[in-house]
Amino acid sequence: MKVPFRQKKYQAKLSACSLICCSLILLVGAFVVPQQGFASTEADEWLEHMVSAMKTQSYRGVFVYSRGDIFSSMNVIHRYKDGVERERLVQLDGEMGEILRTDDKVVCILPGNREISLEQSIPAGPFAGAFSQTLMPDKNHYTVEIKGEGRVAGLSAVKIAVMAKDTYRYSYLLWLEKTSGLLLKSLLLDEHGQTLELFHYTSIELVDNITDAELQPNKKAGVVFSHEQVPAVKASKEWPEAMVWKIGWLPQGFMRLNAGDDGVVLKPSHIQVFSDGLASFSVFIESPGKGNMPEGKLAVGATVAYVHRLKWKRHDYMVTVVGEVPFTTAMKVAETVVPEISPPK
Amino acid sequence: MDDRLKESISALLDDEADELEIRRILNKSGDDELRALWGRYNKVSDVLSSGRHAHDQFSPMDIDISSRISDAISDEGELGLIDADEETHSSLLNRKTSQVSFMRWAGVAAALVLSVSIVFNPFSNDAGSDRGELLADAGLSVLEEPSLEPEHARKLNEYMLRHAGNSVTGGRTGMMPLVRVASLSMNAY
Repeated sequence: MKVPFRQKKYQAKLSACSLICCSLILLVGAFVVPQQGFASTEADEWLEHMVSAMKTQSYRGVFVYSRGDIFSSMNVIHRYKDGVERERLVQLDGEMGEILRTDDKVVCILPGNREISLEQSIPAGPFAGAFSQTLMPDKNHYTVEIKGEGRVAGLSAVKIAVMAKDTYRYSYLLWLEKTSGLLLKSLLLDEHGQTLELFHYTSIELVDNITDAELQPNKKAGVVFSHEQVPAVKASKEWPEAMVWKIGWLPQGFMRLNAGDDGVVLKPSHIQVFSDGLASFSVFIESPGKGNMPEGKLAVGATVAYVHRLKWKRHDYMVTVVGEVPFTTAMKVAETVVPEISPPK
Repeated sequence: MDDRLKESISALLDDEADELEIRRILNKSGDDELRALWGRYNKVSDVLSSGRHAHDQFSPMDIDISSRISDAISDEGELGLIDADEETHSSLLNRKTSQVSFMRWAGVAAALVLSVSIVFNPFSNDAGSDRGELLADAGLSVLEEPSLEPEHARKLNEYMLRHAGNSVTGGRTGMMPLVRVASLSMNAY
C-alpha cells in the first residue's frame, strides 16, 4: 500500500478516511503548519521513532558499512534494560576489533592489544539545550519527506529522504523498520547524488533476550592491554597566551556545541565542535609540529579533513576541520578562522 | 524560493503534482535556484530508485558516467521545463507530469550513449593519472593511496577519533560515528 505523502490542497473531495486521519493527527497534538501537508509531520514522527529506537530498542544483527570503496561487515548487539543502554560492535573483517559502549562511555579494543577509552563530549554552551534531546534535522536546512516503502534485511521499511537545501551539507536516505522505527539502512549522498557512505543491515533480530555475556568483549585471557584515554573537549587554561579563536564563517544552521583546549592527545590544541542537528564537524587549531598533515583536503568516505596553515603575526597555526560535510564547507570554515587575542586573566 | 515550491518540485518528481503546482513551478522555471534544486532532487531521486552503491564509484569509467549522467539529468530537467513552457494552458491538464518524466528518461538514455562514447576514447592511454584526478574531483578518499605517509595517516586517525568522540553523545546519533571509527581503525594500523 503506497503511503500517501502529500495532501493536495485544492482537491475538492476528501475521502472520509483522510478526514478521520487528519482529525486524529490534530487530536494527538501534532504540530500542524498551514500550507504544509501532513506528510512533513508524519516524516518528523518517523525520525523521532528512529531516534527513540536507536536508544531503547534491543536487537542483534549484522550490517555492512562502506566508506568509498572499502566495505566492512560488523556484528552489533544493542540492549536497553533498566534505563541503561549497552552496545557492542564487533568487526567481522580483518583483524579483531570491538567497540563497547555503556551509555556515554566508550571503549575501543583495537588490534595490537590497545584499549582506548573515549570520554564523551557533553555539549555545553548556550545552544546545547537544542541538541540535548534528539538530533533532528532543522527544517530550514533540510527537506524531510516520506518517499515510500521498501524491504531491508527481510523487514518492511519506510523510506525517508532528508535532503539538504544547500550545498554546505549532505543529504540522507533512510530506511526505518515499520514497527519500531529502527534504522535498517542509510545512504549519505553528496550534492551530485553520489553515495559516500552506506550502512545496511543484512540480518537483524529485534529481541528482548540479550544476555550480559553477549555484551562482554572478546579479549584473549592473559594478554596485557595498553590503556589510553581520549579526553572530552573541556574548557581549560592550557592554551598559551590565552588565545581566543573566532570562527569567521559558519554555514547557516550550524551552531557551536562545545569548545575547549586539549593538552593531551593533540598538544596543545584548541577544539570547537559544531552541528546543525544532523551533521557535525570539529575544528582543531594547533601549533605546527612534526607529523602535521600537508595542507589541503582528505576524504575518508563521508568524513572530510581540510588542513589550512594560518599565518598570523609571527606565528603559524594549523587549522584542521574534520566532519561529515562537503569539503567546500570544511575549507571555508578552516580558512576563516582567526585568532582574537585577549589579555591573559 | 519557499518551502511550498520545494515540496511541489518533490511531488513533481514522484508524478504526484497537481496542475496548480506544475503551473507554479513553470512560472518560476527561469529561476536559477529552482533549476539547481531540480537537478539536485533528481539526482537524489535517481539514487533512491537505482540502488546505486558506493562500490561502483572507483572504476574510472563509472565515475565519469555518473557525473555526466548527473549533468545530463539536470540539463534535461531544464529542457523539460522550457519545452513545457511553450505549450498552451489547455495542454497542461493531463500530459504534463508524464511528459516531463518521459523527457527525463529519454535524456538519461541519450546521456548514456553519449558518455559511453566519450569515455572509450581518451582514457585508454592515461588511465593512471586520470584515475587520480577523477578520485580527487569526486572528493573520494586519498587515504587509500599509498602516498600518504604513516605519520600523516596516524595524525588523521587521531583527528577522526577525536571528532567521533565529539559527535557521539548519549547515543543520540546512533552508532554511525563509532562505526566510522571502527572502519578506520581496521585499515590504518
